[in-house]
Amino acid sequence: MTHSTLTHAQWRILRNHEGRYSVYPATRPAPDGWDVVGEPGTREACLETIAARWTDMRPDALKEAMS
Amino acid sequence: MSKDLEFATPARTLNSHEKRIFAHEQVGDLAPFTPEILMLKFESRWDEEHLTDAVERVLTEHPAFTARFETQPGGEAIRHADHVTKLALCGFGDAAMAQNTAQAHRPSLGDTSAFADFWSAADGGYILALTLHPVLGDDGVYASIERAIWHALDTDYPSQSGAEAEQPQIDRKTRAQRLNTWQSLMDSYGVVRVPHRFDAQEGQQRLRETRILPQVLRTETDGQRGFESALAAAMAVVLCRYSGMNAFRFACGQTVESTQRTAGVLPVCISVISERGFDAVRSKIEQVIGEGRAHQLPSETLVQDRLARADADPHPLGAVSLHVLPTRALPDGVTRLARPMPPLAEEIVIVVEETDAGLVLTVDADAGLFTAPQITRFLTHLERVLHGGLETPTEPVALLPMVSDAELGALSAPYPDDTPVDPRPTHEIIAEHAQLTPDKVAVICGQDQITHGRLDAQANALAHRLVEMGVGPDVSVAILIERGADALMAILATLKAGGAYIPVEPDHPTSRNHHILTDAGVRVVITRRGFLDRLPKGLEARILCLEDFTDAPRVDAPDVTIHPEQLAYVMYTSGSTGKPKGVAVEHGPLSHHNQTTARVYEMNAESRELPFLPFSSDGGHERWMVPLMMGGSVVIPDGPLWTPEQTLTAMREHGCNNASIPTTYLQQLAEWAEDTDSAPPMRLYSFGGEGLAQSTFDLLSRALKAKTLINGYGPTETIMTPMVWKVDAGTRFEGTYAPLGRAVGDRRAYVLDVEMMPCPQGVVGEIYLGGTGVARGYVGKPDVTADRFIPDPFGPVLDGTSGARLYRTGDLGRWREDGTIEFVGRVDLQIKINGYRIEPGEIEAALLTDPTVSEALVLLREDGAEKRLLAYVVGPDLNAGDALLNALGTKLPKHMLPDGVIVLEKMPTNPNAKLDRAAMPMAPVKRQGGAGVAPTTKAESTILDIWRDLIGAPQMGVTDDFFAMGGKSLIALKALAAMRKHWPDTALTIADLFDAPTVRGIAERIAAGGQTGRSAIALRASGTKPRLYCFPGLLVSTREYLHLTDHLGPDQPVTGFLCHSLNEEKQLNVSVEDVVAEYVAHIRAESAGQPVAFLGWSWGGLLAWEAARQLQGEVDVQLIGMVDVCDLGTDFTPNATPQFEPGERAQLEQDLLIWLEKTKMRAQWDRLIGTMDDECFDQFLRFIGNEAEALPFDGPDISSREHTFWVLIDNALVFRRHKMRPLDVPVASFSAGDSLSRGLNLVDWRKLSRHATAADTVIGTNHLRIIGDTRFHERFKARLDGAFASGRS
Repeated sequence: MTHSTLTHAQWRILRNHEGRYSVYPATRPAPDGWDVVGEPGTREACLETIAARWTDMRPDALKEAMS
Repeated sequence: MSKDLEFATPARTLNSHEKRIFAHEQVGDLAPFTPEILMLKFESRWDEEHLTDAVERVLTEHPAFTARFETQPGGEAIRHADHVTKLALCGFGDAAMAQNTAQAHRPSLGDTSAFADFWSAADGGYILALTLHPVLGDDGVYASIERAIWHALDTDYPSQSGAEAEQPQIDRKTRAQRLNTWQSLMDSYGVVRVPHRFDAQEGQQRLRETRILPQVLRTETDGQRGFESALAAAMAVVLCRYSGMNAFRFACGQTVESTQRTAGVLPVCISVISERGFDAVRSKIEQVIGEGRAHQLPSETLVQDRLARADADPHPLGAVSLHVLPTRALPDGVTRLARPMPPLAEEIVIVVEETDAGLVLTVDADAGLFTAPQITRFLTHLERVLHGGLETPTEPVALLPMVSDAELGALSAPYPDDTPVDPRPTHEIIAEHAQLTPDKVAVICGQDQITHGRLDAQANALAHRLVEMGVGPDVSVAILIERGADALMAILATLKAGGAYIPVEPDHPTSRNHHILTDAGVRVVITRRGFLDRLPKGLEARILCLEDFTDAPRVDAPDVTIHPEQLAYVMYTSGSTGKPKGVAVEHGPLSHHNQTTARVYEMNAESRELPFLPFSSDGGHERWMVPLMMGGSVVIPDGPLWTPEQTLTAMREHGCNNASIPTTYLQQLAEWAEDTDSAPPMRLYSFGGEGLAQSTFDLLSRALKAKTLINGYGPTETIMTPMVWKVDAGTRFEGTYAPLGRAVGDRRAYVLDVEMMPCPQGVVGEIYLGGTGVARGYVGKPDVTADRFIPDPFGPVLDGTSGARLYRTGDLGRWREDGTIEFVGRVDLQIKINGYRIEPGEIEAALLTDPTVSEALVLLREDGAEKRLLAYVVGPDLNAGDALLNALGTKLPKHMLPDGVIVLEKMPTNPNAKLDRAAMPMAPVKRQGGAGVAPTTKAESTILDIWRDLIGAPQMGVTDDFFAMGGKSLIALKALAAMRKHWPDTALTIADLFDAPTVRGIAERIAAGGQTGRSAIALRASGTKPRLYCFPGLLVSTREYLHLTDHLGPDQPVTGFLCHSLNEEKQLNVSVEDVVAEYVAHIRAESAGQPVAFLGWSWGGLLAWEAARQLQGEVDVQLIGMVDVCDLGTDFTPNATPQFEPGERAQLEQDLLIWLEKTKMRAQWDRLIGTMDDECFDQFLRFIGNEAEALPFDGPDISSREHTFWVLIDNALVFRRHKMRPLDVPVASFSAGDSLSRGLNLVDWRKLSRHATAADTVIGTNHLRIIGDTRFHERFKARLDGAFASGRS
């Protein structure tokens, strides 16, 4: 169930208004409130990029409040 | 002048379809066939006389109306064409009257098999209503009848000649090739189903719904083939999405115009590739159907072949069938008011017909397997996929919507709650009660009773200290303190300081605790001196021991503002793999969750809760936070190992009104409360953590006597208990486990398939939880967080939210009828075998139907490289595993049977009181060789060699069961014969082998020198009900009755008789009376003057009948069950004169003489032939001539072909001389669907007893397998219970 039977070769990194990251099949439109980040890639590659980029997992509003 | 109709109608034998229906008629159970009705309406412009003349001509000439059937000796039917069907002039009436009259006709083959009614329509014109016995007609026959009518009416319409599309004759070789192709196709494509309702039982009732698809679909499809492929494609897509199978088969029917019945179904074996568009799927299916029709065989042939296999599906060609009725044009001024439906033989039958209003879709389904709402939805899904597929033909079929937004909104909706959210964080709401009710008790733990005021003041003091130590937003503080008042205070202090708490249980494994303390970047640890040695070396955190903290309590909290996205806690959760992960939860969603939960649980200031959940699970924290937020109180157990007695006493003593307890422990509590009648008065119990079976839920309802029960569910990632099922005690749920319920708070719960498409109700998918009530993510694991928390595509549509996330739970569930979600299993435990999805939960449910089983768990375990499906149960006797496995065999299809059932005293649990799957023991590997114990004596060694050789099991040992190892009845006879050569003085019989089925057991019998020589075996020795005697068919032992005996239950004593042919001292050519005499003596000795019941299977039915006759007045036979009992066929029935080609008889006799010269069984054959009269000898020659293979020479060993042949002929001669006489005994008769489809000469017991009923047909099974079929067991048990009940009164 965790694996799609569709061959989603391409995934995209999405980021929401709170600065939270996730991945989504590249063939489907990004759900409301999510913006596309960077170029499509494999799911693994997208997750690796997120691991490198999303080092501070605090939501944007909290970061601002704490700064 | 009228044209000539010219039907050629010689007398003939029946075709395979006719033969089958004829057999149904003979045993009195016509289902699934029904009388076939055609109704035509003629406008008033037609001339009445012209019409009636034409119809009468058709009635005189068309074979459907001239048929007469004659039964030959031996049961074969001949169809003649000399009957006259009269046109009944019915006067004035409307369509409804005409239809009612037609439906009231009862066509019968012995009497009137066809009816024709002519009405003057009340609204002008005329109605012709035709009713045919199903042997005579189907939609294809009516096509031919319609054409004949137009012909006789001299219309020019339709213009083409009435060409008869007779089936081309297929030669033997082509037939074999085709069968081969179909076999390998069906081996690769499993039977697909619409998911059955809970507790489904195939029933006799059907339910039907019709829907008219809008006109637009008609213009978009092109002609009849277009309809068929489009509908078949829509059906395939829906079935694929329902079942999760990508390669499967369903049945497809076809109307072929003919003067005789030809309708059958073909299996459509199709792979649905999810990323293909509808158009591609449709082309593929069109091609598959076309190829299937080009290589078709009669469906009876395919079904019979399939049913001969041990793992046959009861619907071998498909459980769902599609029939697209061809559009047949009508002359002007004629409309068709009714035409026949195909036989309603499959679980679901879909019929499609084009009308002026559009495509009419009729779904007819087994009401025992499906509910009406399910069928309505099935139609809706078909319609949506068809519509979507035609509109977007290249969109992947996996993405065609089946669930509408409105439906999804209702299904996923949380418990309604309009109360505005209090923006304050949890601890501030708790602190308010220190102002309002400072002296009210907040926490009771052991001897301590702490008030709201004191709890708050202590926490304030500690919070100030924590702020000094650098605690602030998103700073983690570990609480390494045992569950109790101090832990609560320390947690509140951490929150007040703005920090995030991490609970660490001191008594948990050190390695786990060290991982938590180092993984989460803990800055402060609050603990006790006694736990200091449990901290990892070199931990970079400040340590605060409570013993060293002596600051005075104070009323003011630190001046800290909490941001809603600031962390409240980090909870470590053990996944199935890897190290525990820290789940980070923010204040905003936590407070919102707690507030809604308080309302759902109906908590208030009077609430006093006993939370038994550990602090290492987030649920344990919800259950103290919520009562305190409402100004209530909690009673915290002062030790983790309270006995049920301690817990119940504490509840009573402290006046608790609700408790939250892990399911596994609550069950023990309920058992104790029931045994000791010590349930305290409680309003509410909440529980969760494991699947809860109905039996356990009933126990909780009954024993705990609370008004309300709440089953809670939720992964840590979705904050505490995001879903609950709140019900009154005593509620019944239809399902394996208690429902998980609905979402709570600002969340929605979804069941989605692999493509994240919403699953319709009843379809298994993964549970997703979304909304604001989810965790921030995993501490320090952004990639895992991004992987598990995914963008929510539904929130924007349903709620207008944006940027929300969904958490993928890894749990499988399905939406129930009421929109609550039912737990089905774990995604990572789900398995696929041969394309079938297996949910361990279904196997668990089957195990739980055994009253002794209180808990069941099925796991796929990795045992080295091998994966094994193992079942664990609690409750029954520790060595009952094999018996449970056998019982499962009667409830589940073969592909779902586990490798073993292991009985445990209790399920192992981990420190969080959750099931510890890894701690479940492995079952010893069961090889086909069983235990393989070596022989210790020469006798054992000799016997073992014989058995190993005969069974073909070289690894067999002396303690392994002969039959379990694969020994069949005939092999048993061979083994006995071989053993006799070694011990000629010990006359072992098959009864000995049955009683002592191991090498060791038999060796002991030989050593003792005794033998039983019995012909009866007690399958169940005792019981309160009248004894059931089972009479054997030819060449079977009594083991075949074992499953039936199991099913009839412990109160039903059962005795099985051995087949006389298995008795090696068998006498030649005895009479039936003599065969039965031995059984009769046994019954007389055991049951004289008692009520009894008989069961006769196959030829055993004739023996049972004779035994009942001989025992008249001596025993009270309350019922005879007759299972697929056939009389002699045409082969050996007296007066069935065999036919020979010129010279054939002489040639056959010549062949026989040559063979007799050579065979080693010459003497036996001579004796047998010597008893034949002339007619019988001719029949014998005919029988030899009909055999496909040459006469065998491999006798006289038992189980050789020649020996079996001899026994068969001898037996036929025995029964040939026997004549059954009427007897006044109740008879319940059962026939196998396959026997009817072969047109076997089944006995109609109604002709022999006025207390016999028509046969009950068990479809999808055959003559040999019916005795082990659960559906037969159930129906026979019902009849037996009924007979015993009326016998007593």
